[in-house]
Amino acid sequence: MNDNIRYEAVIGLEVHVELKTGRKIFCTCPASFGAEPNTQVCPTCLGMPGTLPVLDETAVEYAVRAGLALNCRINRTSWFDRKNYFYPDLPKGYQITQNDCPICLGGAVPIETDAGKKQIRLTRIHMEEDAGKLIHRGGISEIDCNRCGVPLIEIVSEPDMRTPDEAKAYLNSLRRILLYLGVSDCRMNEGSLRCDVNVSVRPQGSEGFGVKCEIKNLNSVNYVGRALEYEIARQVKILEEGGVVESETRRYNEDRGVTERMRKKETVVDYRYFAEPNLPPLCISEEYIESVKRAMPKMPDERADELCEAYGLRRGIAELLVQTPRLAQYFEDCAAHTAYKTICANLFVGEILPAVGEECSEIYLDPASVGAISTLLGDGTIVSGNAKRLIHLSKECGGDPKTIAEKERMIKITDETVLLPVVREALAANPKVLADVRRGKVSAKKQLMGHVMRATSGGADPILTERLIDAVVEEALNEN
Amino acid sequence: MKKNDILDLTVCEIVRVVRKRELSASDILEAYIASAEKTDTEVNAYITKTYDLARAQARRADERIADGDVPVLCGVPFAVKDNFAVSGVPMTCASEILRGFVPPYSAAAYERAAEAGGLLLGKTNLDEFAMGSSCEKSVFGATKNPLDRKKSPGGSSGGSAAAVAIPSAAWALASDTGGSARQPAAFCGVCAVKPTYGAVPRYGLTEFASSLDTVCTITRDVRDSAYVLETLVGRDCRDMTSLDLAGTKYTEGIEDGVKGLKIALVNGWEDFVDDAAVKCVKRTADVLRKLGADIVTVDVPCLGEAVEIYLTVSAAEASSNLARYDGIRYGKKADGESVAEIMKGTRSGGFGDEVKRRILTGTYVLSSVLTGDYYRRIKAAQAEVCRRIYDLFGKIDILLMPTTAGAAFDIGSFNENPTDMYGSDRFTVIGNLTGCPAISLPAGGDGHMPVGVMLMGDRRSEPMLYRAAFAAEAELKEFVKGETGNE
Repeated sequence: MNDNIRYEAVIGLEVHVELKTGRKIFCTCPASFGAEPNTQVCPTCLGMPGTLPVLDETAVEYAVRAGLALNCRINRTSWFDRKNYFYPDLPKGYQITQNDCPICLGGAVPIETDAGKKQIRLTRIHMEEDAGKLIHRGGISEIDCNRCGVPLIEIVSEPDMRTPDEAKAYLNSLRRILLYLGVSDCRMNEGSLRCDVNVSVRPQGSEGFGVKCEIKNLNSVNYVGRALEYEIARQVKILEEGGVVESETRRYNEDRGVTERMRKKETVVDYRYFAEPNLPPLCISEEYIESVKRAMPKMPDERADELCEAYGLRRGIAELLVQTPRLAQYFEDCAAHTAYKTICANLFVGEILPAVGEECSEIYLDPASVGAISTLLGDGTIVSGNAKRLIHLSKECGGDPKTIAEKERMIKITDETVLLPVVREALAANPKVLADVRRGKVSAKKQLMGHVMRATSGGADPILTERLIDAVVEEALNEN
Repeated sequence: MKKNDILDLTVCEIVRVVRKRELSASDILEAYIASAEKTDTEVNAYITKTYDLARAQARRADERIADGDVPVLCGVPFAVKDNFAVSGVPMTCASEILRGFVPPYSAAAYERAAEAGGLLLGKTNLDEFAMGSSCEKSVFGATKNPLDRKKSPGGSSGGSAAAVAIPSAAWALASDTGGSARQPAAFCGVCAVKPTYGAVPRYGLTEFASSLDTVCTITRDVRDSAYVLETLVGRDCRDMTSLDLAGTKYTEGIEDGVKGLKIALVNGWEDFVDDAAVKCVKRTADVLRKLGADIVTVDVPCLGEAVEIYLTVSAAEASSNLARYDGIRYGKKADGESVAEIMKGTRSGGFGDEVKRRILTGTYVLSSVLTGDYYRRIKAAQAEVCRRIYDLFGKIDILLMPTTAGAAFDIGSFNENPTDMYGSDRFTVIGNLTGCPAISLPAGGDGHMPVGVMLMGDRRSEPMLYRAAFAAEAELKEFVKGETGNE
């Protein structure tokens, strides 16, 4: 035992991503989440005798798209293999996957954490079919084959991550890119993005690898973080106590916040891989790759650049807006309705983004209204302090924001003759202010500002109000 | 026309009389049903008879004829090996494990024959999952050779070959993974074509060894073979390994003869066959030479290894293809307390010995833990066989070989040593390993039973093979007649 040894973790991720092609990879059955069990099946995905797999071209296109976006090498010839094992949710007794020669090799995912920027290298991306689902209830197990044959890509990283934060950043970055590509919903709770983690620990600075454990089926980014925190601590403790980490497959118990052993990895599982004879080699031409490239949606970085350029935004703001394609699109729809683009961006980030979240699964307030409120702010019709309330009222009541602002007396009062009596009234109602100012406590004037704002529903022009307060206080001081 | 005269008609002749409205589809069908009923209790060619379906198809065919629409197989009764799916009709693959299974889909080859006006008489017997060469390894009992019921009809497509030989079908759909259509055709004195791999789509054909499985026909003569194949070939979007051959007319030019064709015998082939086979192959060579072909001799230095390569590759693929029969979704299901028990019980009780032998062999050879890169090396050896055969077809047009080592053996011959049967595929497996087409046709006999010869060419060379087979057949007919049928 050596108290001076500090340990670091070595982390690699295997991420299964469901491709949202809308149909299965080897037959034409629909592939949508949540359908009644065994309603999205046909003889082919049920593995009936004599049925044959037919590779869906859209699945190939999506895999190539992902490969290009992650800077992988696209194999000009790849092929499918059979992975043989018996399991009741596997109708053919084998899974069609790519073992020997996957569609994509290499590549990287950029991440950024508090520790800085880093590239996490990828080993490969391969295509495969999903298996079905077992549903256990009351001692009975039922099989739902709807998921059999749903197209997946498995993205395997190199063991390049060193902290749970990096693993989380990797997942978030990967997710953002895949969402941008439009190839998957990436919903971890619905299983359209599933993550297995490989982790080992070693003395800091050492080059070798420790014995790794695999944690299976983590279904949220936070669980990945927490499972890793726990597992790293567990392995470090074993080593510090002079023990040996055993190679095993573990699962994360969400309720207890711990990882638990599923099975020991004693021997290599013998999957008896061989090339799938029913599918010819998958050949991908230069022309095809070019055509996929041309049809590629823009990536987040590129979108952020675009927003900066088009609307004169700061990079930090733009990055917040491009977290997901839907969010960026929502913002752009809003910005189209106003000439005050940066004000619109600030308003969007401050008031809309917290309401919709980065997923932006629904529109909070219609883009025309957001644009109109930005204009009201920009041309000085309302003061910024009223923006939040106006957004809220517009959403609640609907209708033209300007009309609402007028009705709610939010229009900025810039007329001295209107404001002056209000200021005098404020002073009359707060005689103590005068005494405070006289004693040198100038900040007491803020009470008057508050009073005026309340009296005008926040509509008073703050700069004009401040000037009038100064004048009225001065005048009163002089009178005495 | 009398019923027996109807049975004398070939496929091409049936279509002709139906087109001329000399006979209706129903007339033809009833003659065949009567023949099947008369013979099948003894021969056992059929597992399932589908007379109701056939009669409905005949009525439909007669309606089409009345409308002036006479498709190419209109009114032709045919049989389908029971490892092809026909929607709504039980498919057993002659196995206990598929008892009760009724597919809700049809094989592409069956669909094409049915759409062309064919009438399905029934599903024919086979060795379980097409694994075997004798048609004895069926849960429904052995099929007998119609020429001598003590003899095997060959296999695995023994039911199809027997039905065509009787005849209780005008032609039959068969499958050939290592010789399963050609060997029974030779044993029953009829004609089989194993086309280029992928020529006829495999959709709906129960997989044995997917990279070798070929949809075949068994017919009474060479012209019928060419005629039926025209209807069956062409790409099907449900089979990515199928070839785009639609519209190829194998009957066109079939009478053009063999002048100038370079036809080769294989050095040392005699060592593997009996006297009757030697006589028949030599005779065929003589006939073809007389007709103007250039007969040469070539080395094919893989005759020894081909069977071993075939057995390894086919067993490996079979072990995977047959994994789906686990009792969970369809077919026979054993009782059990756990999933493992159900699967084990279903497979232990559902498969016969020969199928188990292949699954075990295949599981073993695919196991990298047990055999390292054995399977990879076997696939490399297969690639080498392909390279040599393709090279050979750069120099010659056709290989002439015996289909089998001799005439049909007795039923039960291989009960003691079942694996001895494997060697009988020596010549036929080359076509499967290389994807090359081959036609087997009768060339004589051993005085009692017929003996077949085989013509094999490069991939997509069927038109040339048909020319040669057609020319030879005309000259060989008399010998077949003279050398068969005597006790």
